[in-house]
Amino acid sequence: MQNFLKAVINLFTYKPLQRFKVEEYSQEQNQSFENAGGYDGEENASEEIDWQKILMQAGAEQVQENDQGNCGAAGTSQQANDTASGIGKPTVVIKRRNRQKKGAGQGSQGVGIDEGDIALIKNGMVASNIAANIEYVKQRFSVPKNQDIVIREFNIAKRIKAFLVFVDGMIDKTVINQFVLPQLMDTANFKDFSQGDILGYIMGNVISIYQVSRIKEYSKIIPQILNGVTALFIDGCNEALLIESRGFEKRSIEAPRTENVIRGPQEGFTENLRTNLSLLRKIIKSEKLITEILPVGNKNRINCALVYLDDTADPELVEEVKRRIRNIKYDFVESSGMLEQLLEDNPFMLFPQVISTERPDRAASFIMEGQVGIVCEGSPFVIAVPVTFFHLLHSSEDTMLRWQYGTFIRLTRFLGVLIASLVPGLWMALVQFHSEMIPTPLLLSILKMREAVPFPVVVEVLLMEVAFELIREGGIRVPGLIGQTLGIIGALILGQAAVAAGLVSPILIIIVAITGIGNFVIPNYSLAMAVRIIRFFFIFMGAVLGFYGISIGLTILLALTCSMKSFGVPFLAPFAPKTRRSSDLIVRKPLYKQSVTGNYLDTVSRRSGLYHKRGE
Amino acid sequence: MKRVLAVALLCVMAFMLAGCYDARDINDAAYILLIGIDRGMSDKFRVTFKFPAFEAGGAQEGERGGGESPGGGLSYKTMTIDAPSFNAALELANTSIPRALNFMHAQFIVISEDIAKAGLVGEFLAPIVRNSSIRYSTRLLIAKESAAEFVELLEPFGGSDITRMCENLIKQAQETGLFADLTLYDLHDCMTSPYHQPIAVLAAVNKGENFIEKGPKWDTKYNIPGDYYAGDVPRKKGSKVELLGLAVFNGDRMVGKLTGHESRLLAMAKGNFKKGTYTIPDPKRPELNVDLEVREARRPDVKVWFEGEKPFVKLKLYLEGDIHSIQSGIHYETPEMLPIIERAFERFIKRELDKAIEKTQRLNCDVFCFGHIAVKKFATIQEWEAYDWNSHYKDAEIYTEVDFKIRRTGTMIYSSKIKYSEEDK
Amino acid sequence: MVEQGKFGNEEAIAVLVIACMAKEFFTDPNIIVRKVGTAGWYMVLISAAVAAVGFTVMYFLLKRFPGKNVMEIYDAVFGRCIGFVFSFFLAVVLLFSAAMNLREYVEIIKIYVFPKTPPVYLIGSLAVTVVILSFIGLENIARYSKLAGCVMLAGFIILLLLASSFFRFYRVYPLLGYGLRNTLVQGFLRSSIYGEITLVAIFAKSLHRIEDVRKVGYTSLIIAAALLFIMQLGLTLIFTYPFGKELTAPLYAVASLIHYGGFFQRVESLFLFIWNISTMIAIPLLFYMVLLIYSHLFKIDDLRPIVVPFSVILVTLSLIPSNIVELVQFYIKYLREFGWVVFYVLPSIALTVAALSQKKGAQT
Repeated sequence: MQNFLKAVINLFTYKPLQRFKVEEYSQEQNQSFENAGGYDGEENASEEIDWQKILMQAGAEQVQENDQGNCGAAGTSQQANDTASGIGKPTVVIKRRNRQKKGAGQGSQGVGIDEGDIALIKNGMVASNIAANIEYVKQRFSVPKNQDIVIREFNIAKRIKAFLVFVDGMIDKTVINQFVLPQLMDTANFKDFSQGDILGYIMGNVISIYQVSRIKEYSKIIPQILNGVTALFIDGCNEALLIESRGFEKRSIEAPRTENVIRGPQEGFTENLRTNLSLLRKIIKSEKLITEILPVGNKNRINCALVYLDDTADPELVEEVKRRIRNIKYDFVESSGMLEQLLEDNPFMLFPQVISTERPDRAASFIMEGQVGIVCEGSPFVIAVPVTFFHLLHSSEDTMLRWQYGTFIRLTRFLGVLIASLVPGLWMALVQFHSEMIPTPLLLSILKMREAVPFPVVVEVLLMEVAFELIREGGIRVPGLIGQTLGIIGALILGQAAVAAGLVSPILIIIVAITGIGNFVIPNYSLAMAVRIIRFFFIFMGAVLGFYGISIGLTILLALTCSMKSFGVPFLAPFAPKTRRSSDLIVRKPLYKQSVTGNYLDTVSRRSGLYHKRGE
Repeated sequence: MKRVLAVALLCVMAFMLAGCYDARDINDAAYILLIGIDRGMSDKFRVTFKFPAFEAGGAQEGERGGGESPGGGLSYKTMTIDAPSFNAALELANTSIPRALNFMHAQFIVISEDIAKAGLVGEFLAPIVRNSSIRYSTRLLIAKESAAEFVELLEPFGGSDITRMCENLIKQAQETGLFADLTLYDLHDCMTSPYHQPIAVLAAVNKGENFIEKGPKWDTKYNIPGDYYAGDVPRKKGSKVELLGLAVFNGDRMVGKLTGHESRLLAMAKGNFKKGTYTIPDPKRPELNVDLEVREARRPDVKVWFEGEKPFVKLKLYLEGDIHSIQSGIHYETPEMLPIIERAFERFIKRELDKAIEKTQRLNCDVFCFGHIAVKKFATIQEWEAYDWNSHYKDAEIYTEVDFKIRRTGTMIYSSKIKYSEEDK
Repeated sequence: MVEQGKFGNEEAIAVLVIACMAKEFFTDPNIIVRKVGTAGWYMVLISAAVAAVGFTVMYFLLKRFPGKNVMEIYDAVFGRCIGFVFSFFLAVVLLFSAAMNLREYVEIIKIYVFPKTPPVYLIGSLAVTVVILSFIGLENIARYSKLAGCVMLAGFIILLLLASSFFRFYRVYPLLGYGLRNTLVQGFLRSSIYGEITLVAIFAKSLHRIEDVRKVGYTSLIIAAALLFIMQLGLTLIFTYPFGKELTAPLYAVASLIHYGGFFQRVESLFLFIWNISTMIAIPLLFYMVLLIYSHLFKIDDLRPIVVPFSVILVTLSLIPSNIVELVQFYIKYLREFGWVVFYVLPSIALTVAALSQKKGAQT
């Protein structure tokens, strides 16, 4: 099962570069030594191997860092060595790096990199000697080949050496230009500083940036640099200062594209994590709203944030979500779509087990109910767990309108689900097995209409259904609003043409159109896709055994749905296992009668202010 | 995993074969709409089927005709076949008709009178009832002469849909009460029941024989409305077929007929009467008449008691009505004069009812369903069956009473006299 | 012994009521009319009273040994050997009952809906459903039956309401049917109609407390009795007793009578859904009970390996009767008329022995 899952995921992933073996590296390195020209071969050789090992260690530590989460220091060098031997690194890059580094290393060799520094760097900590740090940073980022990374060397107060490392394009230039460099270069700021902790002095007195922190470990510094934070290294200091300077291009807040409501806010999430979190915070102004940020993805390491209310969400649920996210051993997690698939309970189930939304108000309502929201960088969709079937059928419009309208809309949606999944199957069963149910005048006219059609009913239905699916899928590629209208209108026109050509009977067009419309009513895209697939299953069962077949299909499907769990919550809760407050499913009660939390999540009650015992 | 998938796929494919047996395309069946049964000449039964003709059409026709209904232009075909039994007839029919016969949509089953009189109804119906496709809700008609002719001539009258014609014809039973809405379920129920005897609707082709074109005009006497048997209504044109009156069965043998008027009285006595029109002679001037629209006011009161073996029945009808016309112009619309009409009508109905009951007693068939009330006096089924109500019906003494009230008089509350220029008083 | 999940009262009630009613939709009302004539509608109440007594016995037995199910109680009271025999007997009767239900259902469906299909497809597809539902587990069967039960109850009531235009009250008379004594005797013999209510003893561990067993048992008995009463009364009001004796499947005939104008007629296929779905819950439930008993008898931990072989046994057993007459007159007759021995008499023997020998379970 695991292998199968891995194989499927492999099929859809971005393939990494080819891997090379370690032995080949050393061979080529020896060759390159001769090529480069005269120098102290042994020392250089040892130096190169050193850096290589250190780089390898750094890479391994990073992996371990992922495994252990935020807390916990990097592993021991012993461990690092063991893992290092097993990992192959791309050779070509190292080779060239070694050559260039040799040039640089020669220059810096004379500065006096002592054993202590090298040991520190081996352990992944910042060294006191600035030259060692510069070398290490240059090796890590493959500068100057990698032109995105800027290393700005300067002198603090004209006497102390320091350098800034940042990624050009990810930072806000005004921060560096106006708030860091001028202040650090100004000797006036350092008048009363002579000895001691320069970093502390800078933090407290010089730099006027709102968020700074001192970090020792490279395993934390490098990811932050990649995130757009600037790192300041000072000679003689074995800590670096991380300066918050993020300022990359991002999309402004627009109306959500996929979920439209008539009466409700028109702000949607964007791809930026901070913006999304701020949108959530605007709605839930509670001090108990916790945001935990975790990195996801071995190689691309985007950030994803867990958002939950500390006094409402089940602590075990939060732990489980964190555990699952940490255990994702996937190299490239691009967005919340992939995260959704990697988090769910049972990948073979047809129904989705997490719910994703583009609207902050909806995400906020999930969080308030005690669910955990996961905001992922790079995608404007926020996912919430756990989910039940009825959540998939709700939209925020139901709550914004009055309860009568909300109930009416919900009933319509429920009807839409039934129609979209069952109507073609029922039609097949009706026409083939139970033709006595059709009223006689209708039957006679159907007979007339189908007399000229050369295909049996099964072929007709499958033809029209497949054509409709093709049109729908094609309509998504057509840009703009045309795409959506293309779906239905195109299908109807195609159907009309098919009728005129005598390929299908007119009544089938109506059936297919009703099915499609029923499908459009479903608010959640994943559920709509699931219903589309289920429809084919019912067509099959109806064509083979009529109403009996459809009953069998319904039984199997519903029984399997009843057994589905999403993060420990049964999928059809609160209907199937009945809990105390199980209203607000199909019929909406007036707001004053509705409580906010769903009891099935085993949450603490917010209304009473007391903490309920478990199992009550 | 692969093995599981392979096995599952095999099972699914084997399962798909299940659809080969019973899944029939709608166009592969011929839907019989009317069935007619006669005594056959070359074999025991002569069965007639009517089904829609297999022609293509539909959307194109709709475009051409503009607002035409999609069922426009439907035509029907009839086929008659002689066979030893019903199921044999079905099979023999398939030697010439290219589609399988399907009875799910049959509207009427028409049985000819000679089969009914010969007592073959039970024989004929036994296989029909066992067959799962003929439904209990199919209507049953007894045709006067030939069922084949009836089936052939039953065509849609206005519009082109035989189903609507059949449904609406039967619906008229509730409008006039001159016949009843009886299905195979009712017949079968009554045939096996110790509570009452069965009835069936009489139907016939009206050849217009009673419609006398030339000759002396009718004089002042007139008939009781509906006092005809099916096929005897004096009319010309209109639809070719006619439903009127009821046939009375003893067990499964037809022993008598009730005219339309008697059927109405039967409906009144059973409590099924909805409304109907009556024309009675004006009490003060018998050569003119008074039209009344009569409805059932309450369910009739029936009491049954036994003295020894002889049953006594007391039947009280409650009717109410509106005056539709007073031809004589006499001012009946006063509290003193109105009871005159009421009493006259009551006497009329009581007289006719007694005649009708006597007729059924002569035939010894309890179609008035007095047995339904009589059974309440018996405790167990054994006693009831030992008594055998059906045989004792002819000994019963039946007292009838009618209560009639006039409620409204239409839009006129007073009739002014018609003035002639020379006063003829 | 397998681990069982817990579920609530409503689900247990739903699953028991459906299991009890599902077999009544087919030939049983007809047999009742044949035996007692017009007195069928109160005969089912007499049966319910007898079943209530039987269930009380079972409840006392369970109360004496709280937290155990009936197989373990038999073992505790009688010792391993005789307890084995009792449980095994119960399992055999349940399996046979499930097989006969299956066959009866398939026969009726074949008469009305699938005249030409070979029964192997119908039996086979139902067996596959049974297997899948057994893999899913009792908890989920119960949840699903709660979901389906509401819909089916509504459909059932609608069916009788729509057919109410055919009700004639004279058909209930003569009131005593074939005699009061005959009614009482038949009522007593037919009390095994409600035998499935005692199945709660087998999954008693899935309910939370012993009071739940009592609530579930009595509520489902009352509901099943009410539904059967309504059904039998409706049938008696629609078909006179000679007519009613003839019909193979009276409820199907009632559904086929519904006729409101030109549009709403011939709708019995809609009501086919009710019978289908209720059978598809009842048979897996009985089957799962058999599996539970078997796994207790032979100390098996996991049910999944024995599901498919047992389903083969089920299918084979259901193919034993050679025609519907044999099925109805012989197998089902004996199941119904002597099933109460297994459902009520065995627990009463156990209760007497337990009371006499002062055995009790650990009271919580």
